[in-house]
Amino acid sequence: MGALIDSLEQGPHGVVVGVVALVVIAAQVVVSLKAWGRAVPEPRRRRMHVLAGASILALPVSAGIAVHAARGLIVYGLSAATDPSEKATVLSSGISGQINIIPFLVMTIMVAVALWFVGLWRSYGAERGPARRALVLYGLLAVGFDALALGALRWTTALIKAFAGMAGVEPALKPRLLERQLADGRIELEQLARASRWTLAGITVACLVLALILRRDEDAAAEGRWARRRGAVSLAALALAAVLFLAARPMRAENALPWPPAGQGEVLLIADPKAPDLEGPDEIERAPVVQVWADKLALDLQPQDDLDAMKSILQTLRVNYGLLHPEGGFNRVADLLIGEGVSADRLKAVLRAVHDVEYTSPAFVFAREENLDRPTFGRLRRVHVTAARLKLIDEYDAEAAKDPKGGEEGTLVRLADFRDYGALARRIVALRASGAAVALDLGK
Amino acid sequence: VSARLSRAVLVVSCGVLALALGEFFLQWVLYTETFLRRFLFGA
Repeated sequence: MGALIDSLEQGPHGVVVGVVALVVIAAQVVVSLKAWGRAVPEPRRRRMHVLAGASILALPVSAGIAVHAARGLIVYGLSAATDPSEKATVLSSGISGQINIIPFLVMTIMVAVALWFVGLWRSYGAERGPARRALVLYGLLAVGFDALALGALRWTTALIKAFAGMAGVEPALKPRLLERQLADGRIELEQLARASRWTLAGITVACLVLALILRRDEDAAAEGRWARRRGAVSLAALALAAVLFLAARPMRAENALPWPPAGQGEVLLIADPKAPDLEGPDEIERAPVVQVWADKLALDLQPQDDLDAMKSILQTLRVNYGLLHPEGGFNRVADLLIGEGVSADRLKAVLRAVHDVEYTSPAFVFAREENLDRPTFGRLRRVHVTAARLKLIDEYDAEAAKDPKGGEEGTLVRLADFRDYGALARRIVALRASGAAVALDLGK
Repeated sequence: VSARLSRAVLVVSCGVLALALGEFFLQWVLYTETFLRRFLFGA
């Protein structure tokens, strides 16, 4: 029980949904007990059952509002939240809110409907006649939902288990695990939904046959009253079915359209300057991001007046890295996002500055925007980012190590052999894709 | 005839409503997957 309350508290309005469920179930218990006592006269008895049945609607309505709010949090977290900790908090709350409320709704609605039905049957199911036949029809149709309810329960609990099981897993593997769980879970849910659909269709056909062959057993006046009542209920049922069908359409369109694979590894939200259109074989690593245009420069999104200003901040970041990672040495990594047309001279000046402050294991980063058009989300944008790692050496490293590659492994590439960044990047990506390490010689 | 007809219409209408309700609920649950996929897609 404690775990259930904890799980509801994780999402928006979860506690409200829990309280509503308790009140609704308590109301069903009271009404069922009263029906059992047979002390309530008509038409108060009928009113009591109608109110009890109507109160069950509070369950899907409150759960629907809570899940809608949770989905709103996910959209806010992905599109508007800027502070990383706020983003993580709202995304976690949004995801928990959805997957905890759904099984809670399924279980409580099943309990509430069963209790309601027990009271109804006690009041109106004892004698043969149109009321009992209607109750049999509604009861059988309710049973037809069981496979779908089981599917929703299994789908959400498998997802909750998958999230719980990811606690110790390497971050890079988590998206793949979640994608696999979603794919597997969907197959089972759709199978059970199909079973539910066929059960409901079968029950409807069986009841239809019975309805056509049953002889009339009421007097003419009662029969006329029942026919009018059935007509009104039928019209209301068809109208509600049409509303539900139309309301499900946008969700169906969104659910039916496949998604591209999940983003991988570290996230980079910028694709400026426009890097060469290359797919680097390496993943981007969390490190200072240097953006290089032909005429300007930025470090971690902050514009830099000149190379000396950038070097000064990089030195500070290097010291900070040492404080944050006292157990290991400096990783020497910087992520270099460089415009395709940047000249070799400009490139040399920037790379030499990076090398001077000991960021000698940088990565050339290739970032490009991807757009995705979705039926309900509209246009979504993400930055696809890959990298090619290399070692930076210069003539002094080569002299000190008495090795043209400055003591580094792999293939030696000379910056002087390239006229711009595009040509150099293509060469380095080709070498890294073949598995070779690359040492880039900056010369003097 | 009228009793049979009204019974038959009621049964079919309730069956159609049950199917529409099931379909709506299925799509509503699957929409959760869509939001998780949106999360996986990234920003």
